[in-house]
This record gives sequence, structure tokens and C-alpha cells, in this order.
Amino acid sequence: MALVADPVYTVTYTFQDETGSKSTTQAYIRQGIVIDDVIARANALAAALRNVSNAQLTGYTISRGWTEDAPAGPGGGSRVERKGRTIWLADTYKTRIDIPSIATGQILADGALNRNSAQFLALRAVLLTDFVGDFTDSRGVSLDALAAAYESYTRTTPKRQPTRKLA
Amino acid sequence: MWRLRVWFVDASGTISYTGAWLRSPNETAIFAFVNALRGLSDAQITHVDVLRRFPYDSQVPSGRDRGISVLVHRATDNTNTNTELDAFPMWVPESGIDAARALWGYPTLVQDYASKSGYNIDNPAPGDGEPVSLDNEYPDDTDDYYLIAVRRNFWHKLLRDARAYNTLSLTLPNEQARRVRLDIRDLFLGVPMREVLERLDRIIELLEGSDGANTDEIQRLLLQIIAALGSS
Repeated sequence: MALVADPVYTVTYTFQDETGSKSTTQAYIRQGIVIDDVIARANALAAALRNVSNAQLTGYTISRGWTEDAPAGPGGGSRVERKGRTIWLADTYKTRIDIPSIATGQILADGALNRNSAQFLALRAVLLTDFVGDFTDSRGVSLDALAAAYESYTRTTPKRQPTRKLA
Repeated sequence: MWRLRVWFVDASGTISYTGAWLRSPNETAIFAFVNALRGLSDAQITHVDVLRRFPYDSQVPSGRDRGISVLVHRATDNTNTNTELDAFPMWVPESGIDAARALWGYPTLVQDYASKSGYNIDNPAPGDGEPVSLDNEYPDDTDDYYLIAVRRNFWHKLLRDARAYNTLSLTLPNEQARRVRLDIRDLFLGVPMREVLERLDRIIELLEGSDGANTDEIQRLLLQIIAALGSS
């Protein structure tokens, strides 16, 4: 059971014509080169695409993925609507990371998450101390403290529902 | 900032994801984060992705023809250039076919570009474009014999039920079936009526150039379509 990397970075270019209609096209860049070089390749191709199209190239998205090769399957009774909601501080601003289907063993009687469990301490270390500067809020400010951690429930969005209908 | 998403599925099959922001797509940090989540959740992690949007300062758009060219680039085996390992379509909106085909001729581009399966495009050999808009470029009459036959009998059905048309495409040779599926996609994308009519005109032209064409039948269908659309 391991996450297997996709063989390529996918670059999705977005175009817009004079009516405002949008369209996308995709290109692929092999993995194994540093991210700055990937960005440089994507930008070079953007310039070439701009030159052969009359539409406006509004931007591009670089993405990379990993897929679980042998998933063991979800635990019995797991429900992704049951979140472990964690609120982190980034220079006094707050940012949220939810944990879908938080294990019931992580929840205290009052609904708070057990901040002293080995599993939670591991998450805290990854976000705050082990990779200082890597994890940020949306503005790019590093996470520096934990503000809150509790159980929360959300509704199931239609797009996330299972394809089969449960009896 | 890079957006990291970790996707989960629970016992009911419901999907969810959680995200974090990263300064760079540091694989070690990503895997550490995923492992930490594994310890906290009893749902199954299925996949992980990381992405970033880059704005681009481009020209003001001109033109509104769909004009999308589809290119097939061949990634070939270095040791045996006759072996095609992978090919993929690429669309270039608002572009002429020749210009789009020349895309990979730009000097800085070839190295490190890959096919979707990860083969290097180190020997680019653009195949024939497959235009989405049929009025851009139409293959010879022989190639389109099957498609014409399909359209003659099923175009009117297609307007009501694309699924029947799709099922029919399964019985066709690969090349023609692919064109049929492209047509279906075009309809779902909302091809302008002008283009639909142009396609029908083109079909009639092709039929008039071949023996035994039943143009009366096509014209009858065309009128039916116009009437149906006019009343909808």
C-alpha cells in the first residue's frame, strides 16, 4: 500500500475568446525535474500557445498527483461528514484543515480532539516544526500555532455522494 | 501558493477531501502530512494531488470561432522509432490547423515535454489533426462513408437521444466511431446552430459527389431538424 506518483506534471491552459467563452487544453511535463524547471517549461509552452491562438490565454495550472496503489478500504462505520476540525494560526490569521472521518478514538467526551494523542502530535509536528516554512495559509504565511481542534459535522454535497444508492 | 488536496472515501462510498497550503510542492512534506492524516482518520485515502494556478498576461482575444484543432503527438521509442508508445490529443482554441501543428516546432519546447503516460516527446511527429469543427477540415469521402451513413439515419435521433448515437458508434470502425463521439460531445457543448446547419450542408455536398446518394432524404431530415428547432 503506497502512493504512486503519476508519471507527469499536468499543465492545464485556460483560454477565453472575445465572447467570454472559455476552453482548456492540457500538456504534460515529465516528472524528475525540479519544480522551477517545470514552471519554466509550462511558461515557454504558454508563450507558444499564445502565438498560435487568437484567444486570450488567461493562465495555467500545474498539477501533480499520487494514487494509492492498493487501498485497504475504509474502516467500518467511517463517515467523511464527521470531521476533525483543526484551526491553525498563521501570524494571527486563522486557517482550517479538516480531517474527514476523524477516528472516534481521537474525540474526547466534550467533543474536542485529543491534542495529546500520538497521532495528533504527529500532525502538529508536520505542520509546525518538522517542515518549517513549508505549510502556510492561503496568503503564504507560515503556520505557527494551533488555535482549536474539535469534532464537527458537515452535510454531504451531491457531487461527493456514492454512485450506488444505499438501501 | 500550492494547494495540496488529500482525497478520502468512507464506508458508504462518499468522497471528501481535505486541503492544505504549501509554499512549494515538497514531496517529503506532502507524504508526512498524508501519513499523519492516516493516523487520525478511519476513512481510506485514495489519492493526493497538488496544484497551483499561474496567471498569464496574454493578448486581448479576437475572434469567436470555435476553431479548435486537435493534435496527436506521437511519443516514440528511442531505440525503435517505428514503435509508437503513446499519443494524446491536444486542442488549441482559436487557431488554424497549420499553426497548431507547428506548435512543437518552436525551438525551446521539445525537451521534457511528455505524453500523458510519461513518455518523452523527444521525436515529435504530429499526426493528422482531428478538427472538432467539421467545417475546418474534412477528410476524404472514403473515410467519411460510415459517418455519412450514420448521420443519414441517426442525426435526427441524435438531437433527441445522444445515447442511441453513442451505442451505434460502438459498431463502427475506430476512426469513424471517434468522430461520432466527437460530434456527440460537440452537441453537449452547445455547438451553434449555424455550425450544425453547415455540417448538414456539407453532408449533402459529399453525398451529391458520390453515386447513389439520397439527397432528398437528407434534405427532408434537414427540414425536419429546422422545424423541430424552430418550435422548441
